[in-house]
Amino acid sequence: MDSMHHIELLSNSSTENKGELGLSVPVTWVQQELRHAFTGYIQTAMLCNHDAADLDTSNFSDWRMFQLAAESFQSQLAPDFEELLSLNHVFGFHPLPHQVTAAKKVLQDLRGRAILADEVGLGKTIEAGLVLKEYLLRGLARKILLLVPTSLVLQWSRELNQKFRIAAHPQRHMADWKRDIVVGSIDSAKREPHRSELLSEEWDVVLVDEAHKLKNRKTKNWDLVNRLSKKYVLLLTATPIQNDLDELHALISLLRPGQLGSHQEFAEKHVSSKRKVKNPQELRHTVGKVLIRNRRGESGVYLPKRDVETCYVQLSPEELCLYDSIQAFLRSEYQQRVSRKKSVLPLLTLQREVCSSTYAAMISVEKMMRKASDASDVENFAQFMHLASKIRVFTKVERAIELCNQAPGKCIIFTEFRATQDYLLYRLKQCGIPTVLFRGGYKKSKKDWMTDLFEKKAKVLVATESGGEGINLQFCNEMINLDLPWNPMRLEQRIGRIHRIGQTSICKIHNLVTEGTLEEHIVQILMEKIALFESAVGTIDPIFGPEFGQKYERRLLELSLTANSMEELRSALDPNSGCPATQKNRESVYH
Amino acid sequence: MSSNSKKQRKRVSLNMTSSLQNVNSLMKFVDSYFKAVSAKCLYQDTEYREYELPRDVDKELIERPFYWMWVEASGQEAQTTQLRLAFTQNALERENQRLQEEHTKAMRQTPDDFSTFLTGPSRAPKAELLDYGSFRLDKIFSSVAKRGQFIVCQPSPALQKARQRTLVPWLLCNGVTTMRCDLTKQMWWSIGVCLQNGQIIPAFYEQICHLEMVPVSPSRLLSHISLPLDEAMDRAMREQERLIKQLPTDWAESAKQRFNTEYDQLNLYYRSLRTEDIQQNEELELEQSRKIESLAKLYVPTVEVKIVQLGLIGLPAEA
Repeated sequence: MDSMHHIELLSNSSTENKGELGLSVPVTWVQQELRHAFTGYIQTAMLCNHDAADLDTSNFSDWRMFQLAAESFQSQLAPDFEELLSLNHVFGFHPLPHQVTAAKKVLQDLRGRAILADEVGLGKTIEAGLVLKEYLLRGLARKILLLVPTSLVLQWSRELNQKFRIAAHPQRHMADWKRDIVVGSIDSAKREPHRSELLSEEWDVVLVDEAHKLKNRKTKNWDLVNRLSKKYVLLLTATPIQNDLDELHALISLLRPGQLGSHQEFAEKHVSSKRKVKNPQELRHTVGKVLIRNRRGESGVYLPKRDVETCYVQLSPEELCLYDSIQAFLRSEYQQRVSRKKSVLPLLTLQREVCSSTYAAMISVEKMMRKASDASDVENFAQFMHLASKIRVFTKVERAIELCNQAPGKCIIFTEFRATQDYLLYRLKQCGIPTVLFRGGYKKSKKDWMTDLFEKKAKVLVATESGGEGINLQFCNEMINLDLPWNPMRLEQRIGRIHRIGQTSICKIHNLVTEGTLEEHIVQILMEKIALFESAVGTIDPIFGPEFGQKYERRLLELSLTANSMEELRSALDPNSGCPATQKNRESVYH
Repeated sequence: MSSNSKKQRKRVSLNMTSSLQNVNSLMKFVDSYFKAVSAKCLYQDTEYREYELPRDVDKELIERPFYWMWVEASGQEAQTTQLRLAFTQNALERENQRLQEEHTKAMRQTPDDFSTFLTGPSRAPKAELLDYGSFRLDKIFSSVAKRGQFIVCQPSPALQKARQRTLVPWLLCNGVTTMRCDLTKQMWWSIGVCLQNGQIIPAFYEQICHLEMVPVSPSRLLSHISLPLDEAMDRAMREQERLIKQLPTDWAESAKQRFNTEYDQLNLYYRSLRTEDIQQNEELELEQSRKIESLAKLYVPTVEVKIVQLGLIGLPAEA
């Protein structure tokens, strides 16, 4: 109970003489063995017993070496609490002013426990690297644990080694956790035996990238980070709040338990309803003590404008026919499954696929048909296949190809589904447009190679969501979203691939939306929610978006399948019903 | 008292002006180092040097323990390392180009022989960037620190009017003070203790560092002292502790305040989590005390002092 001892000292200290360090700040001598070594050195020197008369000039270097050592000791000191020593140690780049300011703020104001919540593309990694290097240089950190998404483990290790000359090791084996500085994936870290291994160590710094994975205090992720013994904590996320205020409370409890008061107090003080904040100013002030957020506009980083355009696509009569019959099927099936407590996830997927491409939907339908036992279901599915076979042209895909042809430069097409991606590739090839592919599971080397191919040889890159993480494609400035993710942050991350530091031209974003389908409403909501988010996190405004993520997707599905008319759906989806997103609102999203 | 400490602070910052973060002073430093360890300079140009390392230096700067094990076990002739150090990015690019050109020229003159047939075409050697923060410079720093720990010396005879004049022995004690809470601040200090009359002089090194010194036999210096070396070291440490206690403590006070605030918050938080469940409460208490421990490690202010260099210096009586 060493700590208790300290605490007693501290509570007494206020009455002590403040002019002197006195008892409260212990002065300890370290590395005293140098004294004994010196005595030994003198004795050996006496044995050599060289007289002043026969001075050997080769020994003349001793004093020079002594001077050099003094000089090097002095140059390595941390002369004050404030200076950012790490700035002299970075390699091959110059940190931007807002990154330096953020790093200083983490060290001096937030005292090493912070949420770095810069917008995508402003260099959270750089800020974190500066902070880590600073603690290493000052001898305040030795054991550092970095928990990052699996796909970014190598990238993080590489960047820390190259840019900051921090000897970070990617975790491959159990033994690697024993290393001083280790980068591992949070998904393996939360499982045994890794978990116990990590909990048995004392860490000086714990860093979690994509920290929105810690928003729920009932998850293993949160529990792990909460239990880790640690001095400094850095949480990196562009989206500290996705759903509601509880998440913010969960994140902050990892950094400074009680900063926002107990859960109850917090709720009483700040939460008036799930999405509304009481005392916003006070909350903003408190949150500012643990959170740093640079926004593109304020950071002084010049980024060209984004030009977002929603392209409405009119489905052909055949496609509309298929869409409607699948909708009807989904509605009845949904009711059945809910009443029988069966999973509705396949329905959700089908609903989203049918908005993406017929091809993707048909692959799912085929799978369902093979599994189906009910004769009427099989008949249904066969009917869909029949309807689909009548469709000669997939309007949306053709529109995307048209857009590619119109684009003066390179172009990225994003889709959520591999099947759609395959079909797109096939069509692009038919049209003679050079194309490269990007999907989840690619190794870093393959991603790099594909990026290179795209930059030098191809015109179009077709990517799925999972393939897009951790790649930078500033050389391209046009993007087509064939289908839209139902989570606004994922859309933001897509755009962040091209709209980031280094981009020199205006970014054109085309969102393809089919008229008269659920998608049309979703796009509207997406726009509104991005606006909401920006105002919420950028300045911690009093409104937080509704729930996104899987829960939200489930709710959308439920609404879309139970609402009797489009109008009913619209009013159910819109939180301030009767007051649809104004045009002005939408523009403000993409300043 | 406070003006005194301000003066001391100023001195520290004056020391920093010769900072090695500047390319020119770094080059001067590295040149002196290699001269002092008698490494041969094979080639030089602006912001660029090539040094051939003596064996002992090689072992300290180049990490290849297995190579040395093999060389020593098999009694082979060791191949010395040639360091090609560029101090700026420009020099690095320029020299790499030169090395490449020289290499291709050499390859043209002597066409591939049998050995290159086995090993493949040899590549041109590459220069490395030696900037502040680089791995190699860290190695040089630790080599310097090891080699420059101790000294026994006297001012060079050329400076002395009479060589045989009696020398007064002094203990020179250089060290670093680290004030530590969640951040650190360090101060360089130096104290001299006269081994004859026990006189204590602060900033002793700064007063003698510009002198030319030559080695001297310690027995000559220690023959008639009234203060044993060990006792002198104790005195130097006591003096340094006394000086430390005069330093301002605002940093420690505010660290304590931070600790107290967060300590209260933490306790409040855990009190709110308590439930009826006894086992769960025990777990929470454990977690709470762990967190308090971490908090104490983070904030509780300490001062760490260490001696980094020691010397026995004979100074002419009037100095």
